[in-house]
Amino acid sequence: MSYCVNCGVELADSEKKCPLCGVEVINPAQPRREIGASPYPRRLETINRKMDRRFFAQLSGLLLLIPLLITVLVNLLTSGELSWSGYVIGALAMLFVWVVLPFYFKRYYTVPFVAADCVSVVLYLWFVQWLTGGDWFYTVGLPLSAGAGLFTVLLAAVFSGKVKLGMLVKTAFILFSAGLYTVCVNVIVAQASAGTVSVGWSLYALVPCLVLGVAALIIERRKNFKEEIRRRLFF
Amino acid sequence: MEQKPKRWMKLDNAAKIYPAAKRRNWTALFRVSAELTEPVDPVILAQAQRVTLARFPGFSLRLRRGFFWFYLEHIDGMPDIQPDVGNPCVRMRLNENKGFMFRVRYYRCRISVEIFHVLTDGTGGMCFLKTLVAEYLRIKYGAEIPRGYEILDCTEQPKSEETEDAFFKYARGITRNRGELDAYYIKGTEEPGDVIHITCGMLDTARVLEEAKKHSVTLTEYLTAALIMAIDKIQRHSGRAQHKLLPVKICVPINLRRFYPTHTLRNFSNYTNPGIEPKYGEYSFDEVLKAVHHHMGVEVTEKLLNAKISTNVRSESYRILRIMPLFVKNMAMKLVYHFVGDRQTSSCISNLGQVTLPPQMAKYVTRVDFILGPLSRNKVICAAASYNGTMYLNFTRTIKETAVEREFFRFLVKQGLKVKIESNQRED
Repeated sequence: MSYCVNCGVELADSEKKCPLCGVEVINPAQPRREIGASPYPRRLETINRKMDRRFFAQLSGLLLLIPLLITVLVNLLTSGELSWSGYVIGALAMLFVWVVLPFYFKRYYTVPFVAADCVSVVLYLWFVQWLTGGDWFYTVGLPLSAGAGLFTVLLAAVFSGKVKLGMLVKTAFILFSAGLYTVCVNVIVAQASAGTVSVGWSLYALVPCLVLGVAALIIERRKNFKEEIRRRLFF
Repeated sequence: MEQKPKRWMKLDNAAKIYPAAKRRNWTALFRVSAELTEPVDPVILAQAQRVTLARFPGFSLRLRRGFFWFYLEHIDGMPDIQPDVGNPCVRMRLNENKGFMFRVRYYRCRISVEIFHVLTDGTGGMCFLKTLVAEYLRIKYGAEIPRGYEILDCTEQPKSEETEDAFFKYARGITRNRGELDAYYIKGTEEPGDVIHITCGMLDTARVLEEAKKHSVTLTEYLTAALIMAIDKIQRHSGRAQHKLLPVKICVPINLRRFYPTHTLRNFSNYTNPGIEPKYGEYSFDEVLKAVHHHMGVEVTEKLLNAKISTNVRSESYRILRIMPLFVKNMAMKLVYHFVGDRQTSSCISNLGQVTLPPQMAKYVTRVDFILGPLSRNKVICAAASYNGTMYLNFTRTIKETAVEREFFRFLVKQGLKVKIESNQRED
């Protein structure tokens, strides 16, 4: 007969530790206590805990076929050829990559999936140009979307949890990349419209981004100052 | 040859919510078990089940979907006797076990019956268990056990009064507002659906009764007050501001057979939620006892309970509701259960009371347990039953933290009661 020293309750022979507080049962009078039979068997009835991801992916992939087939059919019946339904097909393919594709895998791998999302956007833009004609894709579409994609993937990598960085360093990173991307946009647009490489309005965005980013990095290094700010601003 | 039409019946008034509220990994279950002096023989148990089931037509049923309502259809055959598992009351799939909505399980000397609440309540379940065990003892030892309303005579034909919907029969139609304040609920790290912790506390019934008498309250009131004290302490230590403390209320099921002359074996119970308002200040145990005692004095009366069941009966009789297809009703009931369900209470304590057996049977039965299956929002709940001078308090828990049981049993120990604990905890 043993008691829990913590709870004051008597413990059945089956209990190795107190079920209430987790304290191990040590009875000095019985150093090698026989553990009695448990009131319940060891066998458990299990429930399949995880949703079947692959099944969900296949099912929703199949459901996506409904709007796709209807669009194609309507397009064929009304105009006799595949014209505008191309946009829908492309968009659905993009949706598939964004939403359904991750479910084919056991878990969400942030960086590869975000990269795949960005690639699908670039490909869709190229597809739209291919359908409509024009030359905007290589001069504007590709550089802008690929640049945005690159920054998104970088951000995903920084924030996915694998990289251990202070919050202020991460903030600085966002500020720097935002400033840099603004300059890139400026250059690409100027190149495409006027044919000259020039940097204009983006400097107004770049300067505060750089200054704030550097400030964040400096504060990160000054532990006392950081603590001071935290103390003053807590809410 | 024309086949005889299958026998069927409607769900009783209280059962209607359970099929709708059922989820993939949760079913409203409860469990009654009896421990014998010798290991259980599953072959004899199966024979006993066959005889018992013939006497309980209210158990040979399966759940079917009608267009407007669920209904219960008679099925022939026998469910299998199952070896017990370490996590009792884990969800029941209705397509398993040949469609039956109860399962008989055995482990060493123990016979357990887990029942989906659609079929019956604790009283009906206990009647089934007693009859099953009596038949088992009759076959195994030739024990001659006197039969009556609590242990049914299996040589008799089933009586129609045993499957009546007593709610309909006795509701007088004057309704009453069901609104109540939401209560504090116990937070914690949730376990997956198949992890269910059972902690059983054993007390000397006479001592608890003596303690309750000292405060001139009933045993249920005493236990309820102790549980309120435990949860009140937990809430106070949770860091909430005094003026934001939520009511601590405990759901206490009430057996309505006490008030009406019915022998129904289907659901016939209601509940009341005694509690305290901790934001007004710290309650002493005596104050809690008083609050619970007087609450029960007002609420547990034939008049107010009748108004309560009338409200439930009324709400299923609205024409607009009745003509809605089942899937719409289901969604509505799911929402109701989710948003009202057990939000008005912090926990639940269901006391089946003193279980008595005739001496011819009692010499083979060493222990009787009652366990509630997990609820949705109340993560720690308690079921009590006394047998042979010992009270068995079974806590069912679906969170990791043991705070409620710990505070509850420590409180009882501080009151001078001796508590013995066992559990289904495992070493891995």
